[in-house]
Amino acid sequence: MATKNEKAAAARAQAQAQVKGKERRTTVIIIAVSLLVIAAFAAIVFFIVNSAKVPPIEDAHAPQTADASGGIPVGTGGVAGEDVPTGVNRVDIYQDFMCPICGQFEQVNAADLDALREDGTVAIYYHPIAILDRYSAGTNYSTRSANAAGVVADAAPEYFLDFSSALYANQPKENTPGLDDATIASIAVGVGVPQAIADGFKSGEFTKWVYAATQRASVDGMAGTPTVMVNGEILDQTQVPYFQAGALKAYLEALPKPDGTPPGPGGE
Amino acid sequence: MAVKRTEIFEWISTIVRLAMAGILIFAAIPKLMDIPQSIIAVRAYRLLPEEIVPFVGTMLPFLELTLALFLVLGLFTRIAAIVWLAMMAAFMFGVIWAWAKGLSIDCGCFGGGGDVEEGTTNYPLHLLERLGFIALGTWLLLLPRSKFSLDGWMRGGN
Repeated sequence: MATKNEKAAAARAQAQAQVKGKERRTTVIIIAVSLLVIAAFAAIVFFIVNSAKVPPIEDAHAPQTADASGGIPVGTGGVAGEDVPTGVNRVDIYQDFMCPICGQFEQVNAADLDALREDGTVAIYYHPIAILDRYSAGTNYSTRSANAAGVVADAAPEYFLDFSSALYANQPKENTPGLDDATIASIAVGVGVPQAIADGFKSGEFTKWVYAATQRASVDGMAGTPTVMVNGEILDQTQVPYFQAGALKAYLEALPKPDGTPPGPGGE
Repeated sequence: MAVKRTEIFEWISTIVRLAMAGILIFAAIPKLMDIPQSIIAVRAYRLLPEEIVPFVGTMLPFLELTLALFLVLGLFTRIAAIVWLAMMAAFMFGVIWAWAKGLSIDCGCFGGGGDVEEGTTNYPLHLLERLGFIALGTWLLLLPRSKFSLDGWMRGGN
């Protein structure tokens, strides 16, 4: 008798445990599915919001002198968008104003590139992009400086090159807040940009263009800065060591024009 | 004696589980703060078609956070370990692929990516890191029982 009761009690306890187990399993499954649904929903909203932040470059409001790939050409007279030689080799230079290696590139090659550009040997397109925003302590210096360069290219194109050089001359170190908007503006005014235009930097008129141009650069093959492309092909440092003085100049001077004719200054 | 060993394993599994969650959160946050850079990092591997690169680049940190949540809660731990291992396998494949193709990229796992001067990419170190992560995931796959987990509550114990 006692054994029967014990057995019945044990069976009852086991049945209760099973029901409790089933209830708990159901609860857990509901929790898991709910979390996944909420996560999926949030992810989709997140994606939509972020897609709006980076438009495709054709849709972005761009500086008027910029081309479709996000490059700002500088012609023989040193003015962005004017007197850009045709029929000559095209050089694209992708740079981030916070990138110290770009600063080195500038020091080694700026004068040579100016010479080649002025006599019409090459057509140079500068691409100010932002890939180092995370190294400016949350101030997005890369984007802000590239936007400022875009504003100058758009509204004061004769100062674009001088402004770029000045930004490199005052390049902040990585992992610092970079230069603030007022400093960037004063650097611009220092090279001749009208104060009214420099004051407009902080409104970020071309910020979306910078994002779009940076993405486009990455699609085109940019995997780091500086990246140099000649006629659309990335220049390999093992073939042209462009951190050695004169190497890039020699290469470009010796390169035949795109139509196969011998190297040399081109037409307009 | 046998009971005592299971107990120790459960404590280790708890630590492993929470460590994996921490690693995922640590990896996701820099990506969330700079989604365009996360997209560039995914694209730098030149593995996926461009059409889905922005989606993958945006979604990756979300996937990492969701997985971290499941691990923190101890919810379906064995399945979470499998998802973790699948992600690790995919990343390892990507790193080996990029290495073989001579691509100069930063791994991009912790929010960086696509911005390294050629010659400074450190593939062996990245692979070693991946192997460590795989070891964690394998432990949890084999010994998913841990303390303070919803799995444990579901089982009726802990």
